[in-house]
Amino acid sequence: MFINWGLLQLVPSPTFFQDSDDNNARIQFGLKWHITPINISFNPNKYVSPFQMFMINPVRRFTGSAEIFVQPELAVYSFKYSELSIFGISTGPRIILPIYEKGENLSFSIGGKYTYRKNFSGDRDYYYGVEAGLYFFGGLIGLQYTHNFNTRTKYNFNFYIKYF
Amino acid sequence: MKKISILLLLSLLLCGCFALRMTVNNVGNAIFSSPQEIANKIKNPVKDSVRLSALWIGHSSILLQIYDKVIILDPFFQEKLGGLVMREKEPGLDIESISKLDLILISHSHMDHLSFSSLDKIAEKFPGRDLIFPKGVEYYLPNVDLNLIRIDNSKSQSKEFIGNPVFSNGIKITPVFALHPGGRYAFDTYTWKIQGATGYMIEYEDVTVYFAGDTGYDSLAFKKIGGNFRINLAFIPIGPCHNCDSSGFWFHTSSIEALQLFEDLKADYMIPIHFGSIRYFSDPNYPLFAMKKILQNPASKYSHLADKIKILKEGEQVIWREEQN
Repeated sequence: MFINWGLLQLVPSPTFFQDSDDNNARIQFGLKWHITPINISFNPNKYVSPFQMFMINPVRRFTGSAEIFVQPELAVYSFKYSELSIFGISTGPRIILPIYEKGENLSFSIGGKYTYRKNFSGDRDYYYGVEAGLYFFGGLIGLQYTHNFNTRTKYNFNFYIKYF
Repeated sequence: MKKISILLLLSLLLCGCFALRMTVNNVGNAIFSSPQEIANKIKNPVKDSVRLSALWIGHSSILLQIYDKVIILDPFFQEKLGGLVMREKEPGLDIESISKLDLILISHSHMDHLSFSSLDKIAEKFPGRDLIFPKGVEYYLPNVDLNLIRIDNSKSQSKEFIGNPVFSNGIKITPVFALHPGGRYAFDTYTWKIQGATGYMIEYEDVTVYFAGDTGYDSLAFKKIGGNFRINLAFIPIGPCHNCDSSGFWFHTSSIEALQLFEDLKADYMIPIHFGSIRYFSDPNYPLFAMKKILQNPASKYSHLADKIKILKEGEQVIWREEQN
């Protein structure tokens, strides 16, 4: 069970990052993975626990929950304008709320985010952001948008793919 | 190695084409079409002086009445399956028309059998009613204002399985063998390995009704069930099947297997279900056409069953009155 699940977690989500400096800007393609160390469901049925770690049951997630997420990110090419490393890692809290069919057909999320990257000089660089997402088909697929409070990579947009 | 690679590539392409074709068709239908309307829906399905009645809502959903008890089986009132697949015909009954309800039974957690919005609507009208489901379904069940009762069917795929009964409002519910996987989102059957599919034996007063849910055929298990219960009415799924004269598709009974299953059960009557509403890969009524063809063929070993099979249309109700005992 864990091997199957683990392999499915390797499936990346295609991501578009902004890469800019004072004079130039471009869209940079990359990949993102989703790890959920903890999820707390707001309204589980009496037979299941509201607390879940890593292997997150979709129904307890999309019917309303709060979670801590970790997202390793990898840009395909260098961030030549913003001078950040191609690898980064984000983490933060988000809440997921149902919209349609108890969230199974459509749910949304809002959250806060902290992203850590190194810059070209090898020094630590970090920035904060806010994110929002829409999820379909049991939260298996979706779209996420992040607005960073950082002028060099102000936003990123990704397709969300996570097999629970 | 080269041959295997080519074969693998071809398989992937074929799978991709099939999945793509189905997805495009279904999304197109979900956006641009609507289900066929059912004319003259029954407005008062719960009746007096009934020994046994069954109203086929469509697909696997049935409103069952045994004397004064009213039970709904696998309620599925949604227009779209999973938000993507438009059902061919609308449900043959409106929840608003149900005046009394004692029990809800869920056979497994697949989307065409466990519908969240349908349960919500039922809970709104009949809060606190018993909802019985097999072990494993709790992982896919949102919290609804119903009294959730989980039954232990952990050995339901053992051919000898007849589980411990539970009682709800005097109705005896016994989980029985079903050859069908749990899960809800396709791959989770394999990744999460959560089982949770069952058949039910529903007994009240002198009436016994069998509800297969979804199941594949097994030549021993259903004979065992038939040997243990004197069944008056059996709801047996037909299809989906690519070739309904042979075996069913992925843990489902084909038309001919359903007839054999009925014969194994030795039940008085059969109502075929699980066809007509959801297009899997061919005409959703194909399993019914195939079954009718088998029954009408005098050379078929199943032709003698024709009088015992009640083929209902969506929204149609069959009633056995108390005096018909």
